[in-house]
Amino acid sequence: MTGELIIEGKKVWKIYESEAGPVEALRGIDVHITKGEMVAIMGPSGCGKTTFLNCFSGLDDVTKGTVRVEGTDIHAMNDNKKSEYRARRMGFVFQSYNLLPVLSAVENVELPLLVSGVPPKAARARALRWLEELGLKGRERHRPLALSGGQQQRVTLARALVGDPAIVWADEPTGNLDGENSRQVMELLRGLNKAHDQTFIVVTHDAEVAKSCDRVLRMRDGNLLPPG
Amino acid sequence: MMDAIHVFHLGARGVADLFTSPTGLLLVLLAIVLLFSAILALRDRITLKIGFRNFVRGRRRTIVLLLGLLVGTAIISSSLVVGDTVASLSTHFVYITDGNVHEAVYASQAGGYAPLPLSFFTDLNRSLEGQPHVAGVSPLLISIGTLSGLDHESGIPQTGMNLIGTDGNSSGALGPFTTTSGGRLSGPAPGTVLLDPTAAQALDAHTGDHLLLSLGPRAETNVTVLGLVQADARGGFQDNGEGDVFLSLADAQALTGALGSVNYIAVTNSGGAQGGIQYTSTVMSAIDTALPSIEAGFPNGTLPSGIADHNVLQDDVSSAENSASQLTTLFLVIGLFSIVSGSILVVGIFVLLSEERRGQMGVARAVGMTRWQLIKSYYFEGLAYSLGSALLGTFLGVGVAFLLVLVLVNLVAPSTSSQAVLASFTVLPSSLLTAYVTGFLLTLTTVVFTVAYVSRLNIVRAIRSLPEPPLSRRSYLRIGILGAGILAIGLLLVRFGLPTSQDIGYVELGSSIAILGAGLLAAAFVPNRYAFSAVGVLLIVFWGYYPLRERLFGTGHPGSIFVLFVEGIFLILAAILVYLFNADLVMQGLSRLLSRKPRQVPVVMVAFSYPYHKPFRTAMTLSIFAMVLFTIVAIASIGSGISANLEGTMTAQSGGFTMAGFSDTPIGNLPGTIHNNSTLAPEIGTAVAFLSAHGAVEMASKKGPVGFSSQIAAAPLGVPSWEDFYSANQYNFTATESGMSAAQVWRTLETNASVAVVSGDFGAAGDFSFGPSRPAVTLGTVLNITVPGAQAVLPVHVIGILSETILSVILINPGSMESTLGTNQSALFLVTTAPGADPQHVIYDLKRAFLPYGLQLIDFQQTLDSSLQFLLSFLDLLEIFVALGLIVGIAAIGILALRAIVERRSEIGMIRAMGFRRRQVLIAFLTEYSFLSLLGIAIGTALGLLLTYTLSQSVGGFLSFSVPWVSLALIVGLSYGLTLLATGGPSYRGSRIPPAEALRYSE
Repeated sequence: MTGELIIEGKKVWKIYESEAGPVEALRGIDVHITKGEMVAIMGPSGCGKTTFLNCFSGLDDVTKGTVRVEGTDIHAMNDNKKSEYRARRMGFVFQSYNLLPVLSAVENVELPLLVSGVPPKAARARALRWLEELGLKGRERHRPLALSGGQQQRVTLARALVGDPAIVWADEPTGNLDGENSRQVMELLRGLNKAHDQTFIVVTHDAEVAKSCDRVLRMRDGNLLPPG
Repeated sequence: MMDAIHVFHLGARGVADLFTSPTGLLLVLLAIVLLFSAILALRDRITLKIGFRNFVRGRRRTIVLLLGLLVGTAIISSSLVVGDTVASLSTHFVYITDGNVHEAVYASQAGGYAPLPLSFFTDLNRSLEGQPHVAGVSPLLISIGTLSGLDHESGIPQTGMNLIGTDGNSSGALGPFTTTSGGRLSGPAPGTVLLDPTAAQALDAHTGDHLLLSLGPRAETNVTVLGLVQADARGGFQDNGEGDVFLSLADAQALTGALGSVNYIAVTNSGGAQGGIQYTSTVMSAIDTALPSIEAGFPNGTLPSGIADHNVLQDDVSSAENSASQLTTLFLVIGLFSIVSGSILVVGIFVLLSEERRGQMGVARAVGMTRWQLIKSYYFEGLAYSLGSALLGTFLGVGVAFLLVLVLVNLVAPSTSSQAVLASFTVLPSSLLTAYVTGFLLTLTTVVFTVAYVSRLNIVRAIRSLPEPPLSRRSYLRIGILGAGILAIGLLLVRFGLPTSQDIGYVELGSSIAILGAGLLAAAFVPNRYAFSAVGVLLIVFWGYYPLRERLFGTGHPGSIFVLFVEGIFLILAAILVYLFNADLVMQGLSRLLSRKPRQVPVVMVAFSYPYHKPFRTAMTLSIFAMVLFTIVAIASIGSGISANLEGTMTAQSGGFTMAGFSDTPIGNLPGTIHNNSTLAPEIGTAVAFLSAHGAVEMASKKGPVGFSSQIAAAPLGVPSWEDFYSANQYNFTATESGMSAAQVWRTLETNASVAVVSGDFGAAGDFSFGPSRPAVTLGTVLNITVPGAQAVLPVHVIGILSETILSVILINPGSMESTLGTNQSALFLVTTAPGADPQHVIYDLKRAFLPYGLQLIDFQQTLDSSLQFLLSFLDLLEIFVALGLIVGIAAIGILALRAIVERRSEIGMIRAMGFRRRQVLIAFLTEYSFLSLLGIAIGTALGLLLTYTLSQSVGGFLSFSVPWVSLALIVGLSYGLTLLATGGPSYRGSRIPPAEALRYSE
């Protein structure tokens, strides 16, 4: 593995407390991901894929271990710093889109830019450009519920990429899409990865999706399986 | 202490009330609803199970919903219980002032009762002796409000007292007197008197004091105070506020000159004061039978005409109960805004619930559940909420009523002990049932209608959470047809209401309905924004710009307090329509204003997007806040307007004079006597003696000629300047003929024999009573006046209506008074004290100087101060009462906040993932709720002030427009503070949800 290290996890543990006792979702895993890589995290349901995404992106705390993103221990940051870091350097794509239903497509896309402090006019221009790039010209003013599933996922992609993030986290990005739409979305992700040299971490259980990635990390019971 | 509280008066009457309408009807309705529900539940247990489980699903939410729903019932309950207690207190005072007099036999004459020979009493007593329900018959000689007295020891005079001559031997049925030290007396001995607490206090008299009593210049006697008696059924008998003086029958006959006579024969039924009421009709029948034969035994001309028996206690109790019922109505009408707010909240809650469960409803329908079953499941849930909230509301209302009664009694009768208030606090079972059943049915009916509406869902759209499509052209056509129908109804109300209605409210209601209908009709042809914005603006102009209504419908229409309710509802509806159909413009403006810093932009965007895209929720919250604030601000600003106009009111009411005087016996030359009195002369600046008499007045009305009695007066001409009313008075007018100035009106009155000026209470303007008994006198009204002994009727037409209402007089030309009506006596006076003179001392000196004439004096300043103080305190009480409605507003916004953290959980996760800080999430939520509550508060405040402004224009006189800044700041601060309190917790919790957890969540 060569190139600039962008994500580094050492002995990362995540233990949830539940009524039935502690649940070890991540069991001391070590991870190294380099800049510009497109990595798939695969594994059966309940293996800890989403926990991996949450803990390594800073959405959730880890129980033990360290996660360094772009050389910085993300869990050493306070909540505000983490929020600011996510706003500037990360983008997210979720299976259920998580678009704000009361905002239009363009408003949803420009929101992370506004959070980062980009002036509204510039934010709107960039959001429109991304929507056009993703084939949503003419749909900018539509609210999410007026768009199809594939269109909603493309709005989500635009929202994730509009801030030119260093890392894009995608949790089952094709989970709600049919075969054709899945293929289109993955082609899009792959193209953007190549074009912008951004790092993509794609959580999926779909082998076809994993095939489009540079590398596949397989998980089982909170552990990363050895390559191969 | 608790022993004194009779919270439940479960007497026979209370139980009987349960089965008489309307309570009985409500009970039947309740039984039908419960029976229907039981049948539904037995036939379809699955919907019962779904409904009940939804009810108990979230404890916190269930509690908040119950709190929100109970307010309507609490308002009804407290209004009814206040009525019960005031009725109980009023009847308590009736039992004191009527004593044990169930029926009375007398003949009325001008100013009192005509004398009857004592033998008439003896004959009547004998005739009723065998009657089983008659406990006794008592001879009395009564003169109301005519007795003057001077306590030689204290030197203090009092006029206008009641003289009550009583025979201790034959008036035993009236009960014994109880002295202030607890002793019992059967009656005063000759040469002595008993004083009730009012008279004793006014004269500063004590047992053993010597009094000079006077009933006119030639009727005076000296007596000794035998004792001071308690104001119970015997000692409080006939009290009219100036005091009772009890004399022996012989002394009373001597003082009045009615030797060997009585003038009032009191009949006491068996069973005690309250228990004897049931025999009233039986005893009255017996008296009716006896009277003709007794009268026949007297030679012609020895008896006055018109001797009759009168129902005393029963009628007075009914009258007291009616007054209490009017108070209940006032509280209910004032509380209507809160009741309507409560109903809007019920609709809102069930719409929110249905939105929350839209997916479930779609799936349920998809797997075979019928729409009727869906309605039933909500029905059972609504039934549980209705039963629970009505029960809680009913008992909360009792607590509220208790606090209201405490304050109210303190206002009306400050001397009433708290023990007496507690003892009189009455909760009739019928009132509790009425409140419970009304609240329950109101809630349930609202639930049923709401659920019937929301259950019309498209299964696919519900399951896939797709938005509803816009209305079709056909739907707009239907709306247009509906609008045309509503427009027609409104126009019919105006067309037929204007000429016939006694209440302008129907006409104004019709006009508003017509505007609304026109808007719906227009919506079929033009964009909604234009149609409904126009409706809103037109309604605001119609209700807020009084000259328009005056121009359309003219003046002089009586209105009831209900008009204020109609006005409030339409104004709020109008403001909300204008906002809803122009919300985008408001949002853009506000967003620009609040987005000065780039980092504020996303917060503002998220905060405002929900109110904009959820118009129903926004309208619900806005209307609830607006209604509650509207009533609170209107009441506060009315109070402020009255206070601000105190000086103007004083001038308007006093005309620049210090006091008004009324004498029982005409005083020949009051100004001359004052001039020649070395004590009085330096104390008095001006003294006007009117030619005056009590007259009968007839005027035309829609239902034919109507008669009423009134004081008629005329200020003499050609008198010295310090006696000249025309140059001294500063009275102003609310209306004058042809816009004449005050000076022109007075000059016309001096010279024109056929004109009159009337006090403000004769005019319609400002009359918001529950229905004037006398038609309104307006400019140009012709009054036909006559007085006792006059040979002719004097027709006059009204050229001016004064602002003044205390004198309640019709002023006419002095020449007409003397020549046509033949009156040249003076019993009405206006006095101005000299600079530096103490009005109270002047009152004592004047009363002392004119004691034989029974001169009573009203100090304008003191009268206004006490009445305004009462009015302002009563308005404060109403303000507190309507502030109860704030609970609805707080519950509404609290429910929205609780709902938001559930509904938007994954969105919170998403915006946190994209970089929103916790603080930004919190600020976004708080900005949203602040926007909703502050906009509602602003609408309510602005419209409440607008209402007061239009009122000040329409009623004029005592009410000016004044913004109560301090009160407003307190009201707004309290409302907004409570909003933050209700939403702060859920918003904070929402902002603290870890993003990963929020993203995992699904409802």
